[in-house]
Amino acid sequence: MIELQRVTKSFNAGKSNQFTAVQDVSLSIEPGRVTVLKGPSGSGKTTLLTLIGCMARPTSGRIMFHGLNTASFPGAGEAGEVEITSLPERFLTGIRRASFGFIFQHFNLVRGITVLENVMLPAYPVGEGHGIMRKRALRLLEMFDISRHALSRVDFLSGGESQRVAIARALINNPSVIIADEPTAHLDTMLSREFMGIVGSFKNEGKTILIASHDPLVYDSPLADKVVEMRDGRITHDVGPP
Amino acid sequence: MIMHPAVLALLIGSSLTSFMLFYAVWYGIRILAKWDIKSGSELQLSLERRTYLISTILSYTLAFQILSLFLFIYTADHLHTLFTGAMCAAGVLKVNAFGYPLLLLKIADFLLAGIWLIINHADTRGYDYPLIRVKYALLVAIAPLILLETFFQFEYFLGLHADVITSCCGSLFSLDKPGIGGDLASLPAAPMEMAFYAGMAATAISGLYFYRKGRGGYIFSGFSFITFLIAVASLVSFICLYFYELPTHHCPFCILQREYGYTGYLLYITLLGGGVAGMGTGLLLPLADRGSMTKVIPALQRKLTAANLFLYLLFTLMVSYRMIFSSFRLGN
Repeated sequence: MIELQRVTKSFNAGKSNQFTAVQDVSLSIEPGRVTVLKGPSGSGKTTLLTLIGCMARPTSGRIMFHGLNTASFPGAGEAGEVEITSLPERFLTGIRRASFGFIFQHFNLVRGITVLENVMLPAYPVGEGHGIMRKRALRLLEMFDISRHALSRVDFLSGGESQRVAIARALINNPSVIIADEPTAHLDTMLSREFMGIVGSFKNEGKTILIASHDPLVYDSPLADKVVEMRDGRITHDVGPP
Repeated sequence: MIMHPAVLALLIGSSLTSFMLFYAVWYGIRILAKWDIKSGSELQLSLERRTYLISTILSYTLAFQILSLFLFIYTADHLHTLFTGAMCAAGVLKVNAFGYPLLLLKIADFLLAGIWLIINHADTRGYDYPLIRVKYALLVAIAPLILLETFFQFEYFLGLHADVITSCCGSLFSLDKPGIGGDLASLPAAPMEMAFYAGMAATAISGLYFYRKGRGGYIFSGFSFITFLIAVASLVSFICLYFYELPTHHCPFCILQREYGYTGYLLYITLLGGGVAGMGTGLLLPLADRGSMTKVIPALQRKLTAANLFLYLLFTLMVSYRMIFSSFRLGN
């Protein structure tokens, strides 16, 4: 479970142009469930995702991660409960790498290299053998029916294909939490439904899924266990299991 | 003042070090007063972010502080041609009243900076800031000494005038000269040789035991410190004699010169480095039960112990090689 306790994120804090993107947010994200952050542009969804995904630090408040793999944390208890906002960068890098898979709105694939290399990229720092990584990446590409493009450069992929590559890349390190930021923003209805089908398979595998979206196809989906509505950096409505 | 590039480098370097220390100590005091890891307040989170910056700044600042000891000795040695009577750094340090106190301060700051860097290294390996208060308390204690060193350094170099007639090392480290130099020089060679080898052997045995069993850390660290002091005294008492092959020349600075292959630098680096590693091992012991340090500190102590054993062994080998293969022999 991921638990946010009174999290606030301000940019340019203390300056005349200070902007508070997330304000006093407390939230519990249940493991193995799909949680959707819903709200208009500028409501703070993406900022909140970056805080939960250890890509930025809050200005105040704490985020607890229960059930974290603490193998790389010397002296940590077996409970695997870690407060992630105070962690030094070296540990955050490890958590990002091992526990989170990110799917971005614009896919953020690295142009100029192949589909297979893109998928393998997050696995390189783990230090596994190249053959093992390659095998796993090919299996993922096969799973998403895109293995025929494995050796093609990503520059020539369609939007749907790009997204499937991005999903495969998010899964390469077998994360327990998948974070997706507006994943259907650049997809047509058919591809959006296809994406939600993939989300369903993640859920069946017991992964925790956190999606920021203002697409009704996502937040009205029966897959969504909890829908958290945001506006102006605050939670305005929180529907889901207690 | 003598406008020499090394003098300017030392003065600029120590000024920057002092400036950085002021900044670090200011935040160090705030961390000591306000740190509360359980709190998610804006102040706490800003202190957590700030501590990375301070830690990085101080790593470079104190690394320069450590190196500056050797630059200072090199500079003092290099300037000896400018002063009538000076044959090496010994005479140049005697030009005014700040020279020797400055050298002692620099050695003390070298050791303290080394220990701070060891504690900081351990702290940054942990995920829960286990030594944050210890390292900033130590920093607050060290900072006045480094600032005093900067003051002494300015006083010393600004007070260097080439028309001063100074003493040569032969007179400063002669047997009948009152003071620390004379006292160390007059220490009897044979007992000092025994004490030196006994100290090195005790450090090696206790170090190997600690490395293998993880017990007896305080004893090893204590032996390491005592041996450090014995080795410093031995350098003046008998080690130098074998390098100079002269029975009356006890100067610890001439071995830094080209005639002796700059061997002095290697001797001092191994001795000081080994001393810091050995003392650091002991100082980490009472901190080893704090949070994540239960795993981090034992691993770090093993590395420090290995470093101490290697550096002391190198020092002993250099000294022994000279004692065995030099044509010089000390009589009774």
